[in-house]
Order: sequence, then C-alpha cells, then structure tokens
Amino acid sequence: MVLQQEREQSWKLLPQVSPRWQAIFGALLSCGALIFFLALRIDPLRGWQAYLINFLFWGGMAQGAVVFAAIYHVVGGKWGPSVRRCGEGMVAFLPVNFALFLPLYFTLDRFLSPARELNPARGAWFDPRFIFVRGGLGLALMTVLSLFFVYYSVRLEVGWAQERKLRPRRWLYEWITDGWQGEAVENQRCQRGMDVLAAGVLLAYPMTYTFMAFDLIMALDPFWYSSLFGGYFFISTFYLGLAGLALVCVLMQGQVGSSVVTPSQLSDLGRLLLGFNLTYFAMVWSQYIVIWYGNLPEETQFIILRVWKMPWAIFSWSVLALSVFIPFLISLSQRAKRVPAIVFSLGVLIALGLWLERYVLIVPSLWHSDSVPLGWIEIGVAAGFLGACGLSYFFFLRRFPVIPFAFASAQSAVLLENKGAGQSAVNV
Amino acid sequence: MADSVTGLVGSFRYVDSLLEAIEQLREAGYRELQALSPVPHHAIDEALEKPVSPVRYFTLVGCLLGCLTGFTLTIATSLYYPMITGGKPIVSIPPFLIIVFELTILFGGLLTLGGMLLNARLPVVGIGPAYQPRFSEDQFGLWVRCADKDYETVTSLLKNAGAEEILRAGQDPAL
Amino acid sequence: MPQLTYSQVDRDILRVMTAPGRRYYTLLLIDLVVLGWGIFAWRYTIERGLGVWGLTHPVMWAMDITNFVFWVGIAHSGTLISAILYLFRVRWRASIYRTAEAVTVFALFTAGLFPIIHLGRPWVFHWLLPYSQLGGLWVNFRSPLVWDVFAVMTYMIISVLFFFTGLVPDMAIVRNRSSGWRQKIYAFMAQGWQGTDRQWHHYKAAYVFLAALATPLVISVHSVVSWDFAQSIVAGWHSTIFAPYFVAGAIHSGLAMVITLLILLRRTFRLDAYITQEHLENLAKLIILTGLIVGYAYAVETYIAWYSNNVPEWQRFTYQVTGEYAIPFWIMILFNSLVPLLFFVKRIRTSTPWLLMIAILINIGMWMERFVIIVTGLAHEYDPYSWGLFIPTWVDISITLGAFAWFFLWFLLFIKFLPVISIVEVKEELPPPMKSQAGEN
Repeated sequence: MVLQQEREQSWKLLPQVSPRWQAIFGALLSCGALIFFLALRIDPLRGWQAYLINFLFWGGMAQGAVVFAAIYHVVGGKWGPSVRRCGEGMVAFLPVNFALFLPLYFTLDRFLSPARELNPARGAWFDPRFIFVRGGLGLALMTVLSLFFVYYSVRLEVGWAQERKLRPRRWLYEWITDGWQGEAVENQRCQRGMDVLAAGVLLAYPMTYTFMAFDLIMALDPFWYSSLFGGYFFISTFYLGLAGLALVCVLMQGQVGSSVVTPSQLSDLGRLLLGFNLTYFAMVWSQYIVIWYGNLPEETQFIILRVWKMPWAIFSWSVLALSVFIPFLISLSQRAKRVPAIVFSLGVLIALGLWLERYVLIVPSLWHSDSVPLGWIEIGVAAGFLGACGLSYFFFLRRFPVIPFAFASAQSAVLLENKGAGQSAVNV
Repeated sequence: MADSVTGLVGSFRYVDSLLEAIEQLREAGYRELQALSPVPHHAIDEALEKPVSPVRYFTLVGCLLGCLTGFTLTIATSLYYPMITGGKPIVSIPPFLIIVFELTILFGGLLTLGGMLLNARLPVVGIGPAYQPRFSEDQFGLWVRCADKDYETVTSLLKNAGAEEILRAGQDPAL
Repeated sequence: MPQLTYSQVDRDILRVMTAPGRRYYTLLLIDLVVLGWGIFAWRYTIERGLGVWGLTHPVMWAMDITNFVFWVGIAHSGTLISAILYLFRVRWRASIYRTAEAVTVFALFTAGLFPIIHLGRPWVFHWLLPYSQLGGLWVNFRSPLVWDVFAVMTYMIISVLFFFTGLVPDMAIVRNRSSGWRQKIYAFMAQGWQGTDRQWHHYKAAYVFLAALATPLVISVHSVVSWDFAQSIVAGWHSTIFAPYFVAGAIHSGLAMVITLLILLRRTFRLDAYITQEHLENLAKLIILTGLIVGYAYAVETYIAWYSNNVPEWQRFTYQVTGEYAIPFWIMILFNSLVPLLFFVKRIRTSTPWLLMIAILINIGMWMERFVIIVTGLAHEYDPYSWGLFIPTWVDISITLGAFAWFFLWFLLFIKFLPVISIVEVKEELPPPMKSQAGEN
C-alpha cells in the first residue's frame, strides 16, 4: 500500500550524522567550556555576561522553534509537517538549557546588586535567590511541557515503527512506547495529548519569557522599566526560533532532499519570517516612540545609552540592519524565498542580529568601563553553546524521522506528487 | 454588434471540459482565447500561459511614492514654518515616520487598485460580445476568435471537449 | 458544507436581498428614531456648548473618545478576517468575510463621526486635515492626534477600497438579475465585470497585495489610536504596552461584534449552510486568543505599576480598583479576560445562545475598558487638588446610543442592498464542477 511505503521511507530517510560533525561540535563545546572557565579567572563579569547572553540566545532559539511546532499543531497546519518536526527536534536542547541555567545562581548577585543598591525599593522581589527560584521554576515548567508535547508526537512514530520492526530496539524507544496499545487507540490518545500540551506550552511561554526578560534583563538597570519589554522579548525569542528553524530546515533539505523539505515550505517559512520581522519591529518601535515622546529621563536614559551613544549605538543599529531591514528587503521577492541558500542567509542574518540584540540589552547595563567587551570570550562562549545545541539536536535527529508520518497524509501527497514529477528523495 | 467581432462562444458545465477545450484549441493554433468563469481557477491561467500580473509593480511604485510624499510633506512643512512643539526637534523623524508609513500604505493601495483597473481593462462601458449572465452563475465560457471559414473546425473542437452550447459571439442565448 | 452547487449558492445568498418584511421595517424605524434622538442631542450640544456633557476639569475626554476608540476597535476584526486570514490561507473565512468587512467599513464611518462631534466647534473640523493655512502653517505632524487623522483616513479609504474591490464580481451577479434604477447602480459598481480570465488574473493579484497592505495597516491604526494616550505622560497612560494591547483589544471587540451579527443573520435568513457552527467556533477560538492577550496586558500593567515605584502610577492603579469607577473596572476585567475563557469549554463555544451572550458581554466590557482607561487616567493625575469626576449626562448617553443607531442603520441597509456573503468566494471554496466526478454520479 502506498501510504505504508511512504511511512517506511520516512524511517529510511533518517539522516545520519557523520562522526566528523559530531566531533566538530564536541570540540566547539569543549573549547567553549574551557574559554568560559578561563574567563572566570580573568574577568568574571565579562565571562558571566557572555554566559547570560548566550544562555538567553540559544535557549530562546530552541524554545521558539518548539513554540512554532505547538502553534502549528493548535491551528491544524498542513503545509509543512517536516518543518514542524524540525522545530520539535530543538526540544532536545531544552533540558540542557535548563541545566545551563543553574550556574547563573553564582552570578545573579553580581548582576543585580548594583541596581538594587541604587534602587532598593523593590526589596525582596529582587533577592537573587528568589529570582533564581522563580526563573528556574518557569524554565522547568517550559522544559517539561515542551518535552511532553514532543513525546506524544514521537510516540506515534516510534510505536508504529516498532510494530513493524523498522528500527532496532533501544532503551529510548522502549521508554517512549511504554504501554503501547496499538495504532488506533494511540492515535487518538496522542492527538489528545498533543492538543493539551501544545495549549500548555503556548499558555506558559509568554508568562515565562516575560518574567525572564523582566528579571534577567530589565532588572539589570536600576530605574528603567517598559511594560512591553516582556512581550517584546517573547516575540523576539519566537522570531529567533523561526530563524533557527529556517537554518535547520535548509540543512535538512541538504540531507533528505527537496521532496521532503520542499521549496514551497521554505517559501512559507520565509513568509512567516517576514511577518514576524514586522511584528518584531513593531515591538521595538512601540517602545521607542512612547519613550521618545514622553521624554522622561528615567526611561530615555536606557534608550539613549544604547541607540545614540557610542560604542553601543553601532550594536543597536546593527541589530536593526541585520534582523529587520536587510531581511525585509530580501523577503519581498517571492522567488527568493524558495531558494534554500537565501532562506539560510536570512536565518543567519536574523540570528546574528538577535544575538547582538541580547548583547546590547544586557551589556551596557553591566559594563561601565570604556572598552567594548566583544572578543574571544564572547565568541568562545557562543561557540560552546553552539556545540551543546548542535550535539543535542544530533541526538534527536539520529533517532526520529524528519517526516512525521503521523501527519504524513499531507506529506505523502507531496512525495507522490514529486515522484510523479521525477524527483526522488535522497537515500542516505 | 455581432459583426464587429467574429468568434464563437462555447459554454461548458465543467472546468475540466473547459481546460481540455483550451488545450486542444491552442494546439490547433487558435491562440486568441478568452475564458469566462464565475470563479477564478489557477488552472485556467496556467492553461492560457499567462505571465505574472504586473499589478505588483503598481503596488511597489505606489508605496515608494507614498514614502517619498510622507517625508517631503512632513519635513518641508516643518522647515517652512518652524515651530517648537513639546520640546521636540523641528525635523523630528520618529513621528514623521508614522505619517510616512500611513501614506506608503495609502498610495500603495490606491495604485494597486489603479493597476488592477488598468490591466483588467476595467471599467468597461458595454458588456463584451462573449459574455452571458450564466458565466457569472454556474457555467464556464470560452470565446474563440476565428474567421467565418473556421467555424466548422472550431465548433467540432469545442463539441469534442464537451461544450454544451455554441453560439456566435454576440448572439443571445436561448432564454 | 453539504454539497452545494453554484446556482444554489446564488439563490441562497441573493434570497437575503429580497423585499423586506414587517420585522425589518420595524427595526429600521426604531433605529431611525434612536438615531434622530442622537442627532438631536448633538444639535443640542452645538447649540449650548460642550458644557452639557459631563466633561469637567480634569476629565476633558470621556465618552466622546471612548466611543471613538470603541468603534475604531470594532473595525479591526473585519480586516483581520478578510486580509490576515486570507494571507494565512485559512479556508473558513470565505463565507464570513463580507459581513466582517462591512462591519469594518461601517464602524469606521461611525468612529469618524467622533473626532468631529467632540470638537467644541465642529464646523472647523477641517483644521485637522493637512493643508496650508494662512502664512504657510500646516498641521502639527508631531502630534499623535494628527497621526490619528492620517491613520484613520488611510484605514477608511483602504477598507472601502478593499470592500468594493471584493464586491465587484458579486455585483456582476446581482446586476444580471436586477432591473431599472437598481440595475444601473449595480452595473456601475460591477464596473463592467465579466469574469474573463484577464479580469480574474489581475483581480487576484490586486487582492493579494491589498491584503498584504491592509495587514500592517490594521496593526498600525490601533497602535496610533493607542498612542493618543501613550504618548502623553498621564499616569496609567504612558505605557509602552499600549500599542499591542489596544490592537488585541480591538480585534477582541471586533470579533465579538462580528459573531453577534453573524448569529443574527444566520438565524434570520436561515444561512446555516454558509455560516456554520464551525465558523462560529473558530471565531470563538480566536476570541480566546485575544482575550488571553488582553488578560496578559492587564496582568503586566499591574506588575509594572508596582515595579515602577512611580507613586502617581500606583495610586492611579489602586484608584481604578477601589475608586468611584471601580464597577466599570471590574466589569472590564471580568467580561474581557475571564468570561471569554469559558470558550475553552467546547459545549459553550458550540452553543449559539452562549456565543451571543458572551459576545455581547465582551463588547460591553471593551467599551468599559476604554472608558476606564480614559476617565480614571484623567480623573486622578499628578496633583490631588485637581482631581475630579466625570458623570455622564443624558446628552453623552444619547450621542453614544445615536452612534450605535448610525452603525446599525448602515448594516440594515447593507443587508438589503448588497450580498451579505461573498458569492464568489463561497463558490471558490466548493470543489469545482468536474466532468470526471459528474460521470461517477
């Protein structure tokens, strides 16, 4: 039966990750860790600063991609099952991200006490331990919800494959399909599970990331506040997640072929990027124009320092150029968004811009000397996080198929269509 | 009226019959075709090999024009009668950007409409010879421009594809 | 949808436009009476001055601006459904977008009245428009009120344009079936439409671009309206979250109004095959989303009011919760963010009476929200000696009711003169008649 073939195909298309790439990412991780520990000896503030920026960046990217998968599920999307699965894959980094949150305990005092000394009014709410606990709880909640959402998604895959003995048994597969009651029952059960958990992810995400922004970024400045800052941050993180997703999808296309990750899916992803480009800019602008017009010193000092004073002005304008203006111009062309290389460069530009965004939000609040802390420490720590992120993603990739056959009817139609057109999927 | 344009109009109940007719007529060399339908169908456009609509360029030009107008209007008028309001600079770009944005959208929209009307050759004063009210309801029509001598050929081609009724252009349908 | 044919779609939708009965004329009469009373109240205002309203220092904006923001808000869901859902290729929007767009256009006609009404000397309203006065003085482009003029005017023009462009193919159908003076008007509106491939081709292209332009426009319009407040330094108004908060609130109230009108249309004209339970349910789900965003905004505003250590900001917040306007405040919290959560329960969001009731409550709540924001913000500003109250007079209330009557007048006329459901788009959503399938039957 045709559908059966496609389902088997989806397991056969499991991308292999060559040992060379695993070694490269492993090396990045170890170098990063080494550089970080060195930095702690040389200049702890700089080291921890870099750590915070990268923690928010990489964790945000992973979470944003999972949130995309949750939204895709809730709205009943059909245009890109493989894109959804690529997004789900980023969940593998979330537990690692949570573990990486824990060391921040050692630096929250360093970050928050200058602000607290200048403005003690918020009292116990800004006790570093309280911030750590509530941040940790929020992150734990997001991680657990995200993991369970993806669990139900892959359970269907693995259960089906185990029934047909398509893959050798592993402890992970055993654990995932524990209590498997046959395809028909599980289909319903897992769909229901995904419905509930996707809603959970989507409800928890804005609140968690709002408070991450308020506690870990906004609180670094003793006086500044902006009610939209939380909303701005979770939109920015989602935008970042989409950029990461674009990168991953293009790389996947290279692996599994353009009949699985099709040009029209890339084009749709490009459109989403355009839409959230504008949304992101609207969030930036809504804060800027209100603060500009009110002209209240306690609000404007934050913006002026970052937008109009050197050296931070370069960073802010780069953020806008890389994350907003250039991607906007590129995304206007319909044909461009179908080309993998262009979508990839969109992802790179946006990700780079948003890294600098987190940099320019955090560093000027903490760094009070004249130099600009951008060098081997920041790049090293970033490389370390990239290594961790990559290795986690490889873990997921090697175990679960890129085409979620549970939603394969749409994808099968694509595969059949492309087969008719003479394209064939790449066999790894 | 019926003499000024020569051609035949076939009416079809089904879309695939219409598409088949288009294909066969094009192969036979009859390239001046006009399809009439109650709903748009991208397959019809593909069968007729239509190029991408140039309306997009009207939109682009409109947006650029609006952008330019916005900047010119706000900056020139502020400099002409400089008055400090609210302690803001005479040429204050942030608020002006909002005006620029609105005018960009306004002009873009107006020129898009203009582009559509121009390209679609609307408004049309008289109804064309091929049109019959049922083509807006539930039937599809295909108008083929051909000389009198070709009427037989075209008629048989249309009938083969499944046309239900074939009329000369401009002839009123029965009813 | 059960298997409908093209001709059946024509029949069902055009049936709504047949000659009205006694119920319609009664509604129309009541509407005209209320409208007349509203016009009388406005005339009274012009005659006696704005003092006949409840406005007094320091509350110099109250129900006038509440109504303005309310109606601009209502306008937003139409563009959401017709433009934004179009770009996302959401199929179910086809049979409801015409009504939603009509709501947009008429709500804008209503909203546009208030900048004129709220002037003490409405005959000089043209001073708002950008032109050169004596000596070369133009309007103050730096002012949010002028941004408003541009935003609302642009929105009105683009919405009307979008509305009429979408109507053109339908007007051809109506033109074909009418006679006399009606036929001439419909023929004009149809612009000679014949449904040729050339016409459809460019029409579709234009539609996509208009939708793409309308999307950022609709976000910007209510952001600009929110900046009427946020650009000031009034405690409780000066808040960066206002733009997305207002946009979400606008869509929230707009969807509620659209649901209300769709349910009434569906019931009255037996359009169940077109405005299905699924449509209403999907709208209800969108309301959950906007309700949650509005609830988020309430929570964050509360947090920031405390976090900011800004004494006037905090006292204004406590005033909202416990002061003279506490009842509207709690209505706002309850109806806007808590009541819509009932839609999480499938039984409720699939029940028409519940949908109708909750939609009406949401609209009441959203009106209250604008009232609370504006009036409590102004009533309790920085100097305690200048605190004061706004108490609505019969003139305020009459004008408010008159505006509702104005809106419903347009809607009543719309039902009878234009197809309330887009005939062409509904046909587009049906599977096209294929010979291969017909052969099987």
